[in-house]
Amino acid sequence: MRYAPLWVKSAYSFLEGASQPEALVERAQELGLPALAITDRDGVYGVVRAHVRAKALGQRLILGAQVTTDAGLAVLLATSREGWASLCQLLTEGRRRCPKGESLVTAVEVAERARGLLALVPSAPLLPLLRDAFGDRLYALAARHLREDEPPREALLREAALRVGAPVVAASEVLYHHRDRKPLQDVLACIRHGCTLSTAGRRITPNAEHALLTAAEMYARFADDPLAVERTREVAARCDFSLDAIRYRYPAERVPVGETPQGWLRRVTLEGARKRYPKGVSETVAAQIERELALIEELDYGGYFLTMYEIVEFCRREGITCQGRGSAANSAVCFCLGVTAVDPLGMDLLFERFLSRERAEPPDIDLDIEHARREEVIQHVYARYGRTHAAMVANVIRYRARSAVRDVGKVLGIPQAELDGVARHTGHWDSALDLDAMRAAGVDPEARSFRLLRALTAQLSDMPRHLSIHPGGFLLGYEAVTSLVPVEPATMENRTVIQWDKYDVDDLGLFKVDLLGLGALTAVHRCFDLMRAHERLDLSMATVPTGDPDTYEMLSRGDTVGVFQVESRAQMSMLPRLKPRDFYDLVIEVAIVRPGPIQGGMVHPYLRRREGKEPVVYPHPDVERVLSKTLGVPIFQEQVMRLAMVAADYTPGEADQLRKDMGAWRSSGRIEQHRDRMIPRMVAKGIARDFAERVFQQVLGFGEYGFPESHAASFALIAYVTAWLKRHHPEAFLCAMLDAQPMGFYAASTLLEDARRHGVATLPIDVNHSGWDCSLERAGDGSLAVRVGVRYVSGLSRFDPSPPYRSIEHFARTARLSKRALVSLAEAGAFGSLVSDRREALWAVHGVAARLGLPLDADADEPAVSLAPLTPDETVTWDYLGASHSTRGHPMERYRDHLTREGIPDAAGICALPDGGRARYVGMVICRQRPSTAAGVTFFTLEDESGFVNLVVWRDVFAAHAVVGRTAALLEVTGRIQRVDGVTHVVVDALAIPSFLAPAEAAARSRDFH
Amino acid sequence: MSGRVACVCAHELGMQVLLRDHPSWRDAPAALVAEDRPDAHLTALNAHAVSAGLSVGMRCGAARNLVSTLRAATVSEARVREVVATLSDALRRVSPKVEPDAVAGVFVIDAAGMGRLHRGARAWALSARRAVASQGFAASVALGFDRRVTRAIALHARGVVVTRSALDELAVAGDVPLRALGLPVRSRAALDALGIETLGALWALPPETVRHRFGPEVAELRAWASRDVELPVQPDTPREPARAVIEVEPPDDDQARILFAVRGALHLLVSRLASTGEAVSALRLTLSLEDRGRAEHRIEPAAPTRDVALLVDLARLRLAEGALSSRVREAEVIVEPAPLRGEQLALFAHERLRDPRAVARAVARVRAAFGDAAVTRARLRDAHLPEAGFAWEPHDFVPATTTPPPPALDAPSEVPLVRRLISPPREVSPSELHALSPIAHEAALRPWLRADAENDTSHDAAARDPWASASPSRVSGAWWARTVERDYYYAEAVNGALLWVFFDRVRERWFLHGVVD
Repeated sequence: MRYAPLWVKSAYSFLEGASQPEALVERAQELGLPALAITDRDGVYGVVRAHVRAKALGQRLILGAQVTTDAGLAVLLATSREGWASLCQLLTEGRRRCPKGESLVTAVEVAERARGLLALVPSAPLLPLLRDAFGDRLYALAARHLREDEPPREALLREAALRVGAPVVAASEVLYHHRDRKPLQDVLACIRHGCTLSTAGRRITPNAEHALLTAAEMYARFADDPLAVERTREVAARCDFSLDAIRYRYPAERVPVGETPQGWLRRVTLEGARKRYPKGVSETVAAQIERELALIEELDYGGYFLTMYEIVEFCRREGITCQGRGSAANSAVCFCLGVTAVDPLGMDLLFERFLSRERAEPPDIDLDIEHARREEVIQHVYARYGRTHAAMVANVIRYRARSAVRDVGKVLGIPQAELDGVARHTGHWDSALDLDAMRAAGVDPEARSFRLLRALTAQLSDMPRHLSIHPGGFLLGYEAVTSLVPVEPATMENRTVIQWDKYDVDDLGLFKVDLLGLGALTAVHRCFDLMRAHERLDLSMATVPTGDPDTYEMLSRGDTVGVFQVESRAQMSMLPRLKPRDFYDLVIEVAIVRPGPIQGGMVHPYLRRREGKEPVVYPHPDVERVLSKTLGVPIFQEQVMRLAMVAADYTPGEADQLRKDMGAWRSSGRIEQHRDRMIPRMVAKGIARDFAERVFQQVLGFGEYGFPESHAASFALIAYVTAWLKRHHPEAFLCAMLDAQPMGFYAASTLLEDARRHGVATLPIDVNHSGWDCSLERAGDGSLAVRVGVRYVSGLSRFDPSPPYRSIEHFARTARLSKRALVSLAEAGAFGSLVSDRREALWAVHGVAARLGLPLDADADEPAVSLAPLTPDETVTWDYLGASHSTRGHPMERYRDHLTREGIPDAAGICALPDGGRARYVGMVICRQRPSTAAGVTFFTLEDESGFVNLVVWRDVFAAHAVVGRTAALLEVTGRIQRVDGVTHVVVDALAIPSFLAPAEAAARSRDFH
Repeated sequence: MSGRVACVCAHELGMQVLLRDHPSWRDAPAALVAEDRPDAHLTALNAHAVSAGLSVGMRCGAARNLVSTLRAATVSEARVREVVATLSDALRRVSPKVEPDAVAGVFVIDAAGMGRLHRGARAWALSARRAVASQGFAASVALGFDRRVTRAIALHARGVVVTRSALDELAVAGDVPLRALGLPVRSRAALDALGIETLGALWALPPETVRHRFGPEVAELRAWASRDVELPVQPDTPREPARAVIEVEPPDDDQARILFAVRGALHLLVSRLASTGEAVSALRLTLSLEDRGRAEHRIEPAAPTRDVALLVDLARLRLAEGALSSRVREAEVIVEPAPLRGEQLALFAHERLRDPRAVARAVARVRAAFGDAAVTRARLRDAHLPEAGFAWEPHDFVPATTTPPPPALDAPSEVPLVRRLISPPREVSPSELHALSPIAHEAALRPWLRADAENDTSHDAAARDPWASASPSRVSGAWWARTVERDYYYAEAVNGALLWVFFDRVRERWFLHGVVD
């Protein structure tokens, strides 16, 4: 008695299937089913996960999809590779013409793509339409779920089947692996239909008969027609396609006549090497290049490298700044091709981390592109490879506890107010709803509705919600991508997305090209352009002078506002302790302030050893070669992997699995399984349990976020370049940073204030002097000043001023902006060169706006009005309100006299106070942070006209002043000075709104909680 | 106080109502929200909420993040209307001419001559304030000369403000901030930005420069200074149901005589409604009895009517329902007014063969005779459980005859089985069940008697007629309320009747749920 379920929908039939593909495969195995089909609704989203699990368990898998046609549903199963391609193309067509989330094909289209497919049709009208095309591969699908309305429908289906000569095959429409998932399936159906359980009616199924059944159960259900059940095996036997049959070929680049791809790759690599090493390619370098090229040829990856080269060349031609990151930085070939900017041999980076014969995985090259122009590169890829051969990788949005609580609660009909309370007490990344969160929200966790909420939230967590798009991952194919996987339109215009995410792509060993946007590269590019235009200095990322002592001195002071990757409060605090002296120090700096090393308790040991306060010892002689570069302390991700191999006897396969599990960011439970494997093995090898525990903690930390060395090196290069620009060309750097916003850690006002403290002259927005972007102006003495562009006027759409303007009326009639835009410009002081007082300008704008439709001579001579001019303090406030910054002063300056009289120092004064002394301070909040690694401590950065003050606020202090702490824009704090290695913090014991503030100012709220 | 006008302002009435309805919230941060949604904005706050750092305009969810003890709720418009009506009534104790403003909680009052009754203008103003306070609400009162200016003063004032002259009134109003006057946000922001924050500052602007810059609302405010328009108070007159009381002397229990007296009262009341173009939507008849008992009836005609005979007829039917416990000593007749539709007023209505109004009249008679619940109809509902698949609802109109849509192509062509449901389902024992079924159907009914029907792997049921299938139809669900799991079967009784039975898998019992027609 054998039976194969042929109509099975997983959770990837979004908001319909209630079981993960893996669970279905496991259940099929448990029930002894010989084969299992995965047939998601109008898609193949879940097949890779099912395939991987089935392969591991030895469960036979049939692949197909439930396809929506204009004459009813059809379940199409792939019998061959050709059939799979047909199915993917059919689904692509169906998705292309429909709104997101829907698909529709015609019966004619199904018939046209019948080759290699087998059709199971539960809809009587569709059967005759497919008869000729499918012939003996057409079956009538009789699905029984013990519903009252099924027998008459089945009678119709059987009549139709008899007429067209199609055999009947038995099925049930499987929506979950076990009947206890019925409640979850009901909830999903309600979410999909936007209703509650009590109003769902017939939109949910009438019973729990959509589970995977045993053969015995199916024979009982089809007791009147056992042959129909027998036929499921016949169908299964005919479906001889597996995803293993996909032979993916990366597109061969168009190479010059007479060249092979590999030959062309060698040529461009060697040409690049000569440019990279102008003093001559050393034997070591040449040998490394040869070794890499040989492996690339052996693995037939030449096309991939040439593609990356082609994209980088496109960027170079178009003047788009880009730089490879990630493990590609371990490759000399990538360095020579210009894909990466770090010399791997100079850094002693390991090529095997990038590409290895044993691992046999496609290389992974991530390319950072200046974010303002990334779309140009994406569209170039589409144009070059065609939309059938290039598509972006999907990103599956999954439920987390918080989102699950909201959706399940709505379906259960729990009042919104209560639900909101529970959701707010649930962490963003929690996977389940805990009792404390419910109690904290003031609800009774034992009430029936909340018990259901908790149980269903746990089941719904990690279930796919809908498909989104990966930020920059592309799948490119030699053959059409649509023959590999269905492609559908993305929400974003001109983008198409495949139905698999990056994990699926990795699992199938497909090549992916990641084109990521990076604001820092936009700023660097803009800065180089400004330097070229105003300072006659032609530099690029590659030609910025290296090893500049002034730059390292600035970095060592933590003077890094605006410097890529090392500008955060935590990085600024670390820099004076680590005192980077060379590029590798900067690589470590970039990597060390991450959850991995912090959580693993590796930061302080490293600093102590670096300062010679602690001897460099190794927990085991074998690990010395792994950790020697970092003084015996693991800091980089690959060090953890190599430690696992050396100290915990991980096989290369296990280590690679560890890497993947660390990379599967926040996927629950994947890293935890290594605890039992890693720690006992390390202890058995004679390594102290404490060290082993810390290494594992670091593994957990890397699960949150951690850097491999090559990645840190790539970022450190950009960090160095931005630091060098800030140190030596602060005007151009500020101007570029302002134009590249939003990016980085700080608001434009903080960048401006920091630059002003460094002596950079800044000029206000003015329609007669500013462009849309910020610009540099040279003063009579030859010095440069930064003129802020009109882009900073709040609420303004792009327009480019064409000065000179004679009057506000002249401006209004020329620029043809809306009244609202004119008001915004007046409020931001942008008419300063036309009318000196801002209120007068505003009065004029209101008058002009009313006359805009009239001829010029319609100007009435209005009587003069007397308006109170703005005070200097009000002017600064208006600047902030209208343009989020001020070039005329800092908001704290207005209070300085008062504060001085009160004996409250400024930021510079705080830094001069003795360690351990009491301090009282008032400043503007520019940053609040509560890192997950800081055990509830909240860090504040406050700013005034003299600099920054860092605050440490313990959990209980913050709780006692929560409202002020979370909302106040200006804070008064009292506390104790704490100074370590020259880094000053105020450990706060009270927070307050400054008593001298007017109520309106006190009510102004800060919006900078990171 | 001749020519005087007053304005009473119960500030943030919604918030006051909220705290009055939830007295325990007075000592905690509390907020009024626009809607019952987490992202609804806070529209008013109590002092605790303000001192906790919350502000109007914040979203409720964000506010709760900051102050977890925040209590927040909406106040319905109906509730506010009710309070406004109560306050209007209270204020009528100090002046008969009270006009509720468009802003809830604000009332303009004609105070002419009232000072003489209250030992001066201030005393009158204080008594107006007390009138509001007697209902549990706080208010400010301004007594002045121009209703618009007085209103502006009241909106800003806290307490009582009495101005001595029109000039004095303008001077006081000059300090009123524009933000208190409910100007459109954009106009107010524009004026704020220019430093024009009070009525006085606005009045200082040249009149001709205002309208095109800031719009008509601001121009109107500017024009107040010139006092060029007189706006008399338009008092709100309460509208009550028309009522008549008939003393039955001596007490009587003869329904015909009582109804005769009622008829006379009805004629008077209906003619009073007719004078305002209205008709009777309901008749409330309260009979006070000698034994201190009361018999209360509410009778609705099919549609608003002025037909006294019809009303009396319906009353007769209702009274005939039950006997009175003692003699009637007083009858109170109240008629509820409703506008009469044009159709009802038509002189020559088109007569149709099937007169839906006649049906409606008949339904009204049945309802009058047997009570409102006597007339219902079944409405189909979207549910899987048979008994939840329809609901009885009051029948208040004649449904139109509609043509059923054509069946879908793949819809079964058989006429569905029509079942008469037994409500509630009747439990039957297995032996009863056996007795119901003839031997001929034993094979089909076999699964009833075996709990492991699904595990029956014998393939001997070769019949292809789906209705003869051994499998039951199964309804299960409602797990969120109470778990239901039923297996339904058709069974033929010895007398040939086709029965619809189910096995309740939760309770493990059999029930008869219906009979096939």
